[in-house]
Amino acid sequence: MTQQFRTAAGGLIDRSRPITFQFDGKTYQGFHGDTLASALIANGQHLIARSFKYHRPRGFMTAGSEDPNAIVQLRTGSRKEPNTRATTIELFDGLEANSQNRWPSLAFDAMAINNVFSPLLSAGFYYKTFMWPVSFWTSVYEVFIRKAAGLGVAATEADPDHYEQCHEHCDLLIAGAGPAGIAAALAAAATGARVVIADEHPLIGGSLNSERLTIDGKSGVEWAAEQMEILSKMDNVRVMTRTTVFGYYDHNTMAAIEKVNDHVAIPAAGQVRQRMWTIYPKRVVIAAGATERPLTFGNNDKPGIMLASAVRTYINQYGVKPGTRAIVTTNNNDAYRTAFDLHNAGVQVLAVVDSRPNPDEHLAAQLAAISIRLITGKTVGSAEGRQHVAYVQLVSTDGHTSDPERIDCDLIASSGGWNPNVHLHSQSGAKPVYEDSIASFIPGISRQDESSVGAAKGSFHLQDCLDQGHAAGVDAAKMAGFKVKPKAKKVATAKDEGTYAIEALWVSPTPHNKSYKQFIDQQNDVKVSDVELAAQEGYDSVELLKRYTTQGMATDQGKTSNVNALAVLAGQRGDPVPEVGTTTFRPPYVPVALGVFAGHTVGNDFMPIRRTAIHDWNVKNNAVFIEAGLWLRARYYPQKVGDTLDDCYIRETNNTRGNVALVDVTTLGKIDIQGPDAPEFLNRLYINNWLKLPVGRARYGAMLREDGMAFDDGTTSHLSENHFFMTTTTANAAPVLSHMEYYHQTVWPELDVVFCSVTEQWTGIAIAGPNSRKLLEKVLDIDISNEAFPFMAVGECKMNNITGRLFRISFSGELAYELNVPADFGEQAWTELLEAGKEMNVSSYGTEALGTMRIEKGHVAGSELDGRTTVKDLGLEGMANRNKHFIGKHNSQRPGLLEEGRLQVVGFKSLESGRNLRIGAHLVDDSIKLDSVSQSQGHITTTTYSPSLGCGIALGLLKDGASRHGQQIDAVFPLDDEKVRVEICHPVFIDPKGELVRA
Amino acid sequence: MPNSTQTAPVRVSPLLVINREAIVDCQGLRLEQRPTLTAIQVLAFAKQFDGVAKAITKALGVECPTKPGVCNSKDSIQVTWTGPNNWIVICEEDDSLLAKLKMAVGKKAAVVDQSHGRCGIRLSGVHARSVMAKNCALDFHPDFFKAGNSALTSVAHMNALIIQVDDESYDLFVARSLARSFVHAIEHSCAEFAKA
Repeated sequence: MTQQFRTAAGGLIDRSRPITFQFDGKTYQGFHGDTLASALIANGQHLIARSFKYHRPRGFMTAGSEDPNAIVQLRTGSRKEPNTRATTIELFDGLEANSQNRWPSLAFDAMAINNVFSPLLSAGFYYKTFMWPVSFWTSVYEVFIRKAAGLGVAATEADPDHYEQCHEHCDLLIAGAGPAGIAAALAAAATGARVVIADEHPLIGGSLNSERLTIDGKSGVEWAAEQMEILSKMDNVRVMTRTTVFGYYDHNTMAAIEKVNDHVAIPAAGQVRQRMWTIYPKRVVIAAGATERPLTFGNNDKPGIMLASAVRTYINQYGVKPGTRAIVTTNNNDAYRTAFDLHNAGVQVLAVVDSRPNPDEHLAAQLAAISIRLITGKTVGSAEGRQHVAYVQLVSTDGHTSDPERIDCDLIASSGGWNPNVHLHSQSGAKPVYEDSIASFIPGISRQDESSVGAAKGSFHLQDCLDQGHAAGVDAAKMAGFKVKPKAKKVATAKDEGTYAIEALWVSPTPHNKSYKQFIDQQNDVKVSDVELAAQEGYDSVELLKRYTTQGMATDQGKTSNVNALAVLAGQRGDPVPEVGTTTFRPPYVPVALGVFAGHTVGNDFMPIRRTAIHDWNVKNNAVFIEAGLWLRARYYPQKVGDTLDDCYIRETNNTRGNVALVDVTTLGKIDIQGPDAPEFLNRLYINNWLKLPVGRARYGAMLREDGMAFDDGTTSHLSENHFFMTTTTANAAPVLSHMEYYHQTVWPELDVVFCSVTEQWTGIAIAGPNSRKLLEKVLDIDISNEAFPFMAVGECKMNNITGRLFRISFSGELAYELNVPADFGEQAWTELLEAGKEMNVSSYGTEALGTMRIEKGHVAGSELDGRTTVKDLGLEGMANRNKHFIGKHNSQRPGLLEEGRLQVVGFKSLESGRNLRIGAHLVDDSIKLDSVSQSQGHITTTTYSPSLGCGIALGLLKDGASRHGQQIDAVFPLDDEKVRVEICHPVFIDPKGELVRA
Repeated sequence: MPNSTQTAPVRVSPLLVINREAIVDCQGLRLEQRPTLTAIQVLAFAKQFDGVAKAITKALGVECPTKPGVCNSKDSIQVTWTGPNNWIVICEEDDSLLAKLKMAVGKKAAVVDQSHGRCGIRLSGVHARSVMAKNCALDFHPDFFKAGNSALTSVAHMNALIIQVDDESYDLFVARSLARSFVHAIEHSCAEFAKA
């Protein structure tokens, strides 16, 4: 006995394509075209979830993405997806779904006891109930609340699917492909304008697919399918189905999510699961339709109580009967359609209960003609039944509640009116306004290039939707500069379907005025009484109400509950609804998984990786890498199994200091500077003098920021007349270039100088150590004797026909050179140097040894150039030329930067044998009394074990450090309870006179 | 000093992909490395813009563009506007180009070799535009971006020079160090078209 609730025929399902699926371990059948919700209803399964707080049984309230109840866990394993709405899940073969927030089973849920204790769980209960004792906050209360109020459980494995992002530009974006949206698309597309029309459903048509409507003499379904055919054949139109426009941002930037492969079990190889679109339309037409709101009566959350429109959708679109004996309860004309559609599908309609005393005569006559009872001036006061509605009690809307009429039924179709979907309009920065005639909010004055049409504007009449859509399409095309041809003026004609005529009914009286749970927000279990309590406790503004009760804060964003909540709040305050206002809607309109925002940039692809030309050699030679910005640099080179970081950098340092070794310095920023004013430009950038640097020489320079703080350092070489070559630190390669661009373009445009980055063009190799000259003499074609090529010399050279540039500069403090070769020859040059030096036992060294040697030599680097230090603090003030202007000069003379007591760079030696220092350690005089940070006199910036000195050394910033060499102090690291006694010393630990580099 | 009998060095691409062999090759989409390139940046000194543009035009026989977003090409040479005073000239490897340009512009401009610093790939086929749309926020509709158009912008979160070659082909040039990450990212977005 499967699918016993299918209609005999009809619906947009394919009855020739049965689909087998599982819910809570039980196997069911549905058809292609079903949603999980419609297929379960076809099988008579209405109980879908337990509510968030009270664990009450819940069924399907809607047939769309606004459903507050029908959230399930979809799929299993790594594709497990919690909190997915069964009303939007397209059925596929092998689908597995499970209910959430219940134990041990959906039908018997132990936590339903919360329903009994509900007085303890009133509005803001978590602010009131779980207060004492404090020790219970994390150990008891949080554990309890998390367990009780859980939603689904996320998968712990990595998501195996692909997600991506895409951009689209158009003249007109239409959000929603119902009748209004289609009319807009047709009108705009006919002019040649670029049109994108998006709809969250797999079919376009919107309400046409769930109603029995007629356009141009055809059924609405047929008409929509024909327009789909026409639109999808046009080059200037992109029809995006399964795509929800979820965000409206500044400058008409729109975000949409395309569920490319959510309707299959596993996407085909290479295919993406979901795609995030950023769309840049000139104009937006919001044709997002409207959402029906339920009537608010006692126990209005029971399975079997649905929105009247959802009942029509289940019957007309999915061919399923949501019940056998139905009551339709309404405050407007629209819900009468539900009675006719139910009747048409063979469902017994026991009564239409209309809260209005004087219903539409025409509709009354139509009901009478098919013998459906019409009850006026009454409404459903309560629904009764255990896990499904069994009967209703009707009460008079005039407050007469003492003799409720009982009617047995298994389906209540409820309509409290329609709320235009003003979400995107509100996201655009506009303010929706209350419209009395429809008792809801409609779009207000536009703040961006958008307009709403049709039901989204509060026009519920089909012909109005078509007319408004058409007009908006024409307008958008005109605004984008397209000519409207006469034939584009034809608007489709709809068959008249009567008027809407709502008389608001916000909360129903209860039978005998007893206390009932009357739910407003079913997803967060917020009742009428919670809103009333919040107002009484002073949370009577709409924003406070929302936060205090959590109304509208669930994954459905309160689509079915917001207006009802506002109305109840207004009633409590005694104000009209417009006085209370509405909250601001924020993206996303529907829940969007984070994975699609990340797209491909996950795992190792999170950031691009920059690799030097030596990278592959480094990989082959077991280098251990370290990230330096986006660069991957070799940190050290293990030679055998078990080699530690310490083993390696000490060995590499020793071979450099004692012999010769190579390091890849490609990552340093390199800037080519040319022009007659190049020397003057450099002279203004750097603090030292650049006007008289001869060709063939390099000079070390330091530059400041405008505010006088040290910015960057490096060498710049004079290659030929008016041609210079600057190097920067790795970290500041781009900032220095933009600093130069800024000053050249805005401050000194008169300087005739041009420059560009050549970082990528050159591979940089430093050859350091007492034997470096001997090694280079074997391979280079130029004389590099100390006389011919002294310290700071620069020249062009050839190595095996590779033309490069040689610089005699040193970061290690040893006799050293830097060789630059064009990058495509980088690895070749590197391996040839190693080959040539084999008999000398040349080795490579990584950034760890590089860092060790720079500390031993006392060179400041990024850890000291931290944006807070001046050149004086760094001990470089002697370089500054007081007789010229340079960037930052004036501000570097501010009193605060010159006064005593500033932190200055010094060196430290560990006085405790075998104990190294720690970066970030604070420097204190007397660590015994350490009780506040105010005692800190500075900190360690960089540390190493010094193979040359045989002890732990460091650089650091110490108050008045320059005058304290020879003193002792404690370096403390309270987090690890560490304390090391250190001697303060000059920051240059080896060769203070610089004899080695000049040898 | 070494003896001088060595052979000419061989340029090694950061992509280690044999020239002309496609990275992606499927119905309607091809992603391949451009052959080893010569890329020369020309930066005009103050008030020399017109003269430099004329000199480049004369030296190369390709109209040097003077407006943003334009790349003029002839045979394998592409001359692209890359800034208010600068261009990049790209062609298949030609060791004489640097000297030729230096000669042409004389003291009016700086001429800087970037051949080893740029890596070129070509994306072509009916799906090429879709792949571009996934990685770049520009509008590649033929009414707005067509053959001969260029842009310096972010592609797959990396700085790139885009040159549209013909209706269905784009040349993309990125920094050498980023070449592998770049190709990897583009390859990802080709996957949906690369049916087995």
